[in-house]
Amino acid sequence: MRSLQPAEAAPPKTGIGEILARALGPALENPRLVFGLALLGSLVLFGLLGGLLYDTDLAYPLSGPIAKAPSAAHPFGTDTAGRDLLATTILGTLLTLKVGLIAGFIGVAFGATLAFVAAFYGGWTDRVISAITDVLLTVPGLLVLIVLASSFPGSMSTTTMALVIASLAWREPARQIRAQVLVMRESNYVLMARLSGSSGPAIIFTELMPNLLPYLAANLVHAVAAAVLASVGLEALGLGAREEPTLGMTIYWLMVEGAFVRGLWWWIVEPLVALIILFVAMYLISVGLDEFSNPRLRNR
Amino acid sequence: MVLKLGGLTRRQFTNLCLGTLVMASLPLAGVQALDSVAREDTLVTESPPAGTTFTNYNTLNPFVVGGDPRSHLQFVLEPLFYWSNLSAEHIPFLATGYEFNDDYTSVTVTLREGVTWADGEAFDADDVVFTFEMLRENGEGAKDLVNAQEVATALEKATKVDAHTVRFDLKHPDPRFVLGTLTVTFNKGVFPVPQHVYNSVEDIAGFQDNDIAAGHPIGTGPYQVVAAVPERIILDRRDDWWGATEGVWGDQEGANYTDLPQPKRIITIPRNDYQQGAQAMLSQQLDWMAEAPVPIMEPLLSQAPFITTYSDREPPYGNIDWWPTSLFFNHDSEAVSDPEIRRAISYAINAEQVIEVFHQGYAELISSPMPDFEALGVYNEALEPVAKEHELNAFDPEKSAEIMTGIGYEKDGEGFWSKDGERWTARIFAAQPLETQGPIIAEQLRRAGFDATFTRTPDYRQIIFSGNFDMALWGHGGAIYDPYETMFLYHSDFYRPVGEIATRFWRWKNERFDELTEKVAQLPIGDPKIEPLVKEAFTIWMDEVVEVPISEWYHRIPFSTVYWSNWPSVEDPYAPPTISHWTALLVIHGLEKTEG
Amino acid sequence: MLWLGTLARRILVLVAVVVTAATLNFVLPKLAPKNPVASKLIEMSETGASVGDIESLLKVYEAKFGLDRPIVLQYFDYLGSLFTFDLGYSISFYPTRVADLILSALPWTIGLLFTATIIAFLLGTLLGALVAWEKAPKFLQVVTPGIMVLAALPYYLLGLVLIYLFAFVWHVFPLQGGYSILAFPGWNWGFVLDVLYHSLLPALSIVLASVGSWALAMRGMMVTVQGEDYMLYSEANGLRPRRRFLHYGVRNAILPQMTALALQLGHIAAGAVLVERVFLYPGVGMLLFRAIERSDYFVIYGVVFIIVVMVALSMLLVDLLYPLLDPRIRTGAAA
Repeated sequence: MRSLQPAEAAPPKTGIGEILARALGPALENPRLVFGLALLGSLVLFGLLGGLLYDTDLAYPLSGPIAKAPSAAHPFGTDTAGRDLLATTILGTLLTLKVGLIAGFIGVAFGATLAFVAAFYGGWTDRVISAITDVLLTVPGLLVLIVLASSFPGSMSTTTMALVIASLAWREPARQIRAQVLVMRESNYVLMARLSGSSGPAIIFTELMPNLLPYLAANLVHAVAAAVLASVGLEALGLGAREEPTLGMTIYWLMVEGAFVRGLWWWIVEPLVALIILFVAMYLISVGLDEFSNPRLRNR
Repeated sequence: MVLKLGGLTRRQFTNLCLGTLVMASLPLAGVQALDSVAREDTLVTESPPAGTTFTNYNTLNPFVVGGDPRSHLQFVLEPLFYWSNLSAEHIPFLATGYEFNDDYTSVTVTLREGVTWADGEAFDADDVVFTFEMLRENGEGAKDLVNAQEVATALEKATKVDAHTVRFDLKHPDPRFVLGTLTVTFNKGVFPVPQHVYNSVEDIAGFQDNDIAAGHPIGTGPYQVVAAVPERIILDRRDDWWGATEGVWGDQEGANYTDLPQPKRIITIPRNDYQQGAQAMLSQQLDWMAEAPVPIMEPLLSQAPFITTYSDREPPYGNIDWWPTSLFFNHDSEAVSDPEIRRAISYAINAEQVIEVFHQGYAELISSPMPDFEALGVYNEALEPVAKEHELNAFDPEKSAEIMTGIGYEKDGEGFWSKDGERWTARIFAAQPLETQGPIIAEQLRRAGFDATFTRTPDYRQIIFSGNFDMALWGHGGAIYDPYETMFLYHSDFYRPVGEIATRFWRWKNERFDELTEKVAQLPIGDPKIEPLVKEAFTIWMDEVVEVPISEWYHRIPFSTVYWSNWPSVEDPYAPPTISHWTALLVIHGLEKTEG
Repeated sequence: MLWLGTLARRILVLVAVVVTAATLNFVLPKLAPKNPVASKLIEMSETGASVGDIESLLKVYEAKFGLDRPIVLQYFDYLGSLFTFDLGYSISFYPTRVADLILSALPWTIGLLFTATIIAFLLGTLLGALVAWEKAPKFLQVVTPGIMVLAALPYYLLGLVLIYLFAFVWHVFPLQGGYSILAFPGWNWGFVLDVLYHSLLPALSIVLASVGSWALAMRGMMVTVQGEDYMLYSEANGLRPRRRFLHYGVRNAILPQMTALALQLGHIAAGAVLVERVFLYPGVGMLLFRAIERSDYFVIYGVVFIIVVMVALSMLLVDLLYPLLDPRIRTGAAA
């Protein structure tokens, strides 16, 4: 469905810096992308600055009084185990982003590798990889993740959580990047490189990679967003790093502890707002990137 | 071709819709229309097993592994005796009395005359003998029924003496057989089932007895299951209940259970999270909530003047349960196998803070694993000086540190106890109701230098019971009328090595404690010789720091007085107000319809 | 003939998908060092029911469920039982059969998610088409970005927001559950209305959270279609805008939407877990979630199998119908 034009038009031997510059120029004119990046940036800033300026050890139980509304001592209030909710929100934002980034990166890296191998070598290699990818794509991801996460003995760390999610995050990038590489493989500059005797891996790294970068970036944003979505979903079910105050875990605890019926509005509002900002930011960025790669969507 | 698209999808759409309708009607196919019963004649309760659906809705046989009687069968079946715990009263129900022989190896039980099953058959000695012999044989053979092994351990043979007399010959002298096995209290005891239904069943462990349309399950109780779906179980009153007949009760006549209970219909819904129950209480849809911890109870009471509890609208909002909680140790775990380390841990734990945070202050510290029940008062008093001396529930970080340094530990760079360069670490798990205590205890220990982590995982039961833990927050559920049941919890008969499932997961063994327990087992309830034995046993228990006792457990249960009044209360504790124990029928007998 | 060949190949793929998924489904829960039978028995002993020595009872029940046999045998038995649709007994609901549990949960899930998905699809598609049409009412251009942003949120988060506002702050809708406590399932208006009332919030959360993505996809398709030659010709031929919009624009753009809808409907049961957890809705998702918590293998096997078959069938349907619907693809398939 995506426009395949930019790849075809790319000239051979272009520096990565130049491509980035060319990519970023029009990107910055896209209001959705800019607004999304700004939102995400402010959330990251909140996390980083908060981590520096505020005592995040307070995100653990018994740091403050029990279930108190926001006050000077605890600007975001506390929950029923005496966690300071400002600290919880700061750490939660960072941890949730961390899970998304790790899982997204691994997913795209692994998926892209498979895609390159499949697309470039073709034949049986391609058929086997594509078949596996296609079959696994039909397996409902959330189900497998729930089963995997709940099979973990004892408790999980956020890193393990990220790895669990990464175990399925490669499917979509693998399929999409393969399709893209297939198109590029037939392009003139790759044919030229082949004729001049370059080897497979050399062509992948010197010719394909640089031209695929914007495309990989879009895939990465999608993968990170999907990973955050999956991790928050799993945590809200109580599966995941229970000792760590991720945003999803906060949702789980407030559901378990009956925050609604106890009228602890601050406990409900804060993780929801943080998550909403996070999801909206990633949505805007990925829509922006899509519009960027499919120019006909612009200005609509 | 493109033009056809609309038509095809519409057809596709209609087919899918039709399919959905057919699917949707499937579960309703087996449901008959119910007569309507006025709301003011209906009692709505919330009951375990927890979840959005009952796991047992389809299983109406009390001896099947999946057949939990709490949501329905406890209103259909009646026991030989009830023990009403808060009034410390032993109530003969389907029986009228019993007599042990001199050495407690045989007991003769007389059955009430005039009792009938719901289908009109008379209830008599054949039913009782059948039920107990079935369990005994199963416990000695196939072992796939609930209660079977327990009955097989105690019972040699049940024999019919005449239509209303049964003799139970026991394998060992057992003065507690009647209270422990023939009596229903908390979640213990055996309900007799109809011989004329069960004797034709080949595989009782797979028998669901769920032919509701044919009037099953058949019990002697005043209620009958009329509908059971995963989200609801509905029971209607049987106005021909035997108990309402003149003259069947003898000298018990006049007690509140001798009349037909007032609710014409009981609806039980699965106990879910507190939020749902609280909301249903507030909207007056629910009359009897399963349980509400203080932080839920207080907003409930402040929002609804019609809600009350066992202690009225005042703290502690409930009654003491048989489940005093402790921090248990796994005595086979290396981290806590040294009693000195256990003692140091006990000083590091601030049980008062736990009570403050978890119970908002409304629970008492405990020093022994026995609840503060009426019938146990004498023994608890006798243990008080011993407990004072042992300081198991004292909080004193300095003493804790002293003990640790005394046995060669020192704090490492991060402030945690270490020995020979190796840091002491431990994993804490918790029973689900105590889940939120876990982080608190872990934090207290960490502050005292013990590197403990709390883990909450759905499979905590298996981890704890198979011995793969260091410490666990759990409750007791032992003694009710006599200390023996609590002592029995620590008998080494139940010891299993790590890896095997042990109901007594603490894996503590002590020969002298075993001897004392066996001695108590031979003595009848209330025998003055019991007290010194109990004292000696629990002195050992405290010397060894078997656990760190924390607090009493309260059943805090909200009742709605919109439709029903005369709930059990401190002034009139006629029955334990807990729906999740098998004595809820006694409460229902006591309820009165509100005026207007 | 060609079509038959495609059919055979597609069915082969379907079998491959189902067997792979079934195998994963068998292996994954077994990786956990859990023993569901032991958990069940321990849970019972906790409620006081005397089960005596759990170890011996455990052996009896493991044998009953066939869990004491070599894993390979268990696997083949499992495959055999799936393909004969004999889903066996649940461990935690024993002796209730898995099929009974699924049959009583499925209508809830299908009723809620099917309806919500269809509504979201219709609304979203219409919205997406209109936004891409230059003659659309102006207010849509203002409202749409907001609705599309909602697509960014997972539906369970929206669900929590809705519960907070509608059930707690304003007390307009029930908090959770499939029907009210005093209602009892039956074919009467009272009950049907009660179910509808209880399904409004969860349905609303699904509709709000997915209407945007349908709109976005439709808008994308419309934009692409509008650049096609036939649209330009139709404009040059002076066709009225409404006719161009409906007959040339929407007709052609809706095909991929239909495909996506078919796939989405296949995924219905799988997507239900979280929304059902938040609203405590008595559907398949909740059944599956509890089963996973308790490692009730046979319920997990049964539910996941049905979900996978639904997904695979919906894909097969799409693959087979697509060439019939779109002449361009049909000629393509012949090549």
